[in-house]
Amino acid sequence: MTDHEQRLAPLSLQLLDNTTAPLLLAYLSSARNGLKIPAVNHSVLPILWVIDGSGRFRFALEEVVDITNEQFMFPLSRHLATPDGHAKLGHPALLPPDDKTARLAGELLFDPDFGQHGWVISNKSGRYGLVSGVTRPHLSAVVRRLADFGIRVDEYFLPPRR
Amino acid sequence: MLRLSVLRPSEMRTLAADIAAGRRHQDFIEALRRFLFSDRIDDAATRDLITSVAAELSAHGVWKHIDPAAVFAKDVQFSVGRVHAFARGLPPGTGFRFRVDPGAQVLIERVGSKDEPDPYSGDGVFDEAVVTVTSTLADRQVKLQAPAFMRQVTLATGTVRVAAAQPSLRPRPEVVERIIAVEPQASGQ
Repeated sequence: MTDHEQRLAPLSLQLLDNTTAPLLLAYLSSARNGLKIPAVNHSVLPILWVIDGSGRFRFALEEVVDITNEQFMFPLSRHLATPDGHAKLGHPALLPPDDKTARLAGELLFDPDFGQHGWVISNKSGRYGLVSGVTRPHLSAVVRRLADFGIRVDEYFLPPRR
Repeated sequence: MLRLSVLRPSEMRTLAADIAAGRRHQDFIEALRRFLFSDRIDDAATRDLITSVAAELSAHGVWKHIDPAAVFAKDVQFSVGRVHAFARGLPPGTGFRFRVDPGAQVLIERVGSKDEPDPYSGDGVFDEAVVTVTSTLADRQVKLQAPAFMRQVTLATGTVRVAAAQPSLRPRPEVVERIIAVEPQASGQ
């Protein structure tokens, strides 16, 4: 974890709850309603998600900060490397500074060619999603959590390294 | 140009199917070589991505069809930190082990044993992981520790590079570490 990931949080960070879930659903749906602009954006800007120690679903874009002033600069496209003088805020940054433990984490990405729902959720996080003990039912539980809010996604489970 | 870091799940699935069918092997190998080299020190999130891509490729069974020897060819330069991060996403009990020539071998391995807590568990200690570089040159023994994110590790004999002349993929079920042998520059070229 970088020092920035320890102390800073993405500007887009939110908890999934009754207020934010409909907003997230609207955001995800914008890729599927026929307008091409959001579809292009969503296919290169993954949403990072984390289940924190209390079981809450946290989500944010993968953001980049300027390391000289620690100000938000831009969300990072999957096709770009982090520029010199900047730092990427990965999964740990979605967690509070005083508690970086998480149950699971991964990405939510628009990939209409993968499954039925357009959006694909994975446990693609080397630090929280691919660690020992993570199983497919864990990710399935997250899918069900989202479904409780009407958010339907396809599941893409990666077995942990051991 | 194939870029492993940006493949979406459907694209990764297609790539794996192509590889299993005997297609795109050279394309993949060259992409992996590009992926495992960087002229800068990667941040934690990027190393995380590298490990994740390795796990994703492994989940699709790519290593059943791709010979690691073809990836880690001699004279192809890799970033030690990237290879190390990549190796952490490989299947359990496996590792890339490359013997350059008899008596000249360097191993990079993760410190620790399976009895110790996993230093890579999701608690943020990832960056504090340490690799041990051990040279087993016949006439001397060199050992040092360096942060896992170091792009290159320098020994007394020169800059460490990954190279392979007689590579093999050996199961190592008794150790936690995945081992990568590299060649000290001075003993090679």
